[in-house]
Amino acid sequence: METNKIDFIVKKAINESENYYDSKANSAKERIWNQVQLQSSDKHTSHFFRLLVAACILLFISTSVVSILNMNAWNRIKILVALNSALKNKATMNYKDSSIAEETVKSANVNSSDTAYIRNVAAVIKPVVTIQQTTDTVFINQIVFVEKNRLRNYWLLLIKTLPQTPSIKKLQ
Amino acid sequence: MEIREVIKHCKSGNQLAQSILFNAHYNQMYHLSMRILSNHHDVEDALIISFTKVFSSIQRFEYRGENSLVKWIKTIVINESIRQLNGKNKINFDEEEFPEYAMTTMSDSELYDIDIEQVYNIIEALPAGYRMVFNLFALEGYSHKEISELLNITESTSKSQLRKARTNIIESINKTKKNGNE
Repeated sequence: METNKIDFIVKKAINESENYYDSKANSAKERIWNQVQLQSSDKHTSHFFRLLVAACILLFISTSVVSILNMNAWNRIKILVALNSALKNKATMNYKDSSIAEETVKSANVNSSDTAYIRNVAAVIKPVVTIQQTTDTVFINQIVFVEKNRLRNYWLLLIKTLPQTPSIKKLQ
Repeated sequence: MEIREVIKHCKSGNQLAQSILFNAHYNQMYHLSMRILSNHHDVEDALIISFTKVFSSIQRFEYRGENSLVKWIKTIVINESIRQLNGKNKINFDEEEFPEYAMTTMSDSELYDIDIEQVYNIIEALPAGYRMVFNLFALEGYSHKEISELLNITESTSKSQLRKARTNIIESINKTKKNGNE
């Protein structure tokens, strides 16, 4: 006999007795159905909770990222504000300096009444007349009217007043 | 309700459609699982998990004719029954070579004369490995390749398990007949 005949016999026997376990099956049917429903709802609930947890985790991560970014942005803003105020101060200082300089320039350009500019020219005084001593004989022709008795005195006086040149000396 | 409609409503989570599907296939699946597990309580557990899986994963099921749904549910139930069996005590598939049994002592008429209850008792009494391979091959029509993939064994192991199962069944029938005659 071929061994696969056994398969056929067993299969036939089982097919003919499809209701063999029916009593046991029916007793458990309702319980199994209820459990299936319960597990399905549990699965739905657990699925919902899983989604909720995933959403919470995502929310937490995104919030953390956003807050970190926000903190960084705040720090950057603080740095920028500090830089800005420093720049402002610098600009104010520069403005002050420049205004002072401008005022200085302005005041330098405008001739105010209390400011006098004097050109001091140093005068070099040179003697215009130079005294040159030359020795020469000077002849003076003078008509002198003298009384007879006073002629001699007159001559003597005149000679005295004349410069003492050699010729005069001769005359004397 | 047509089966397509039932599936469609099951996909949308309709409880009535789910109960229709459950009632339509429950008994068949109970018998299938019982032949593999041979234990009412284990079958209950396997069926609860199997039908829960059916309803939760029916969204992915594609209808390709009436048999496609039955085959899909059967696959889930068989897989779950195997998992149950493995969970309790790992199935031992002994690799020992076994010669084909030649039954010469009984005639065909004697063989066909076996009581249905005796057949069930013999199958239930088979070792888990033999019973599993015999059920899948002889009753569910799985090939040795499919069985090897399902049970994570080699094809030759599946074949040897089937041979041993057949021999065991014939020996049991012989024994029963002898006892009956005495």
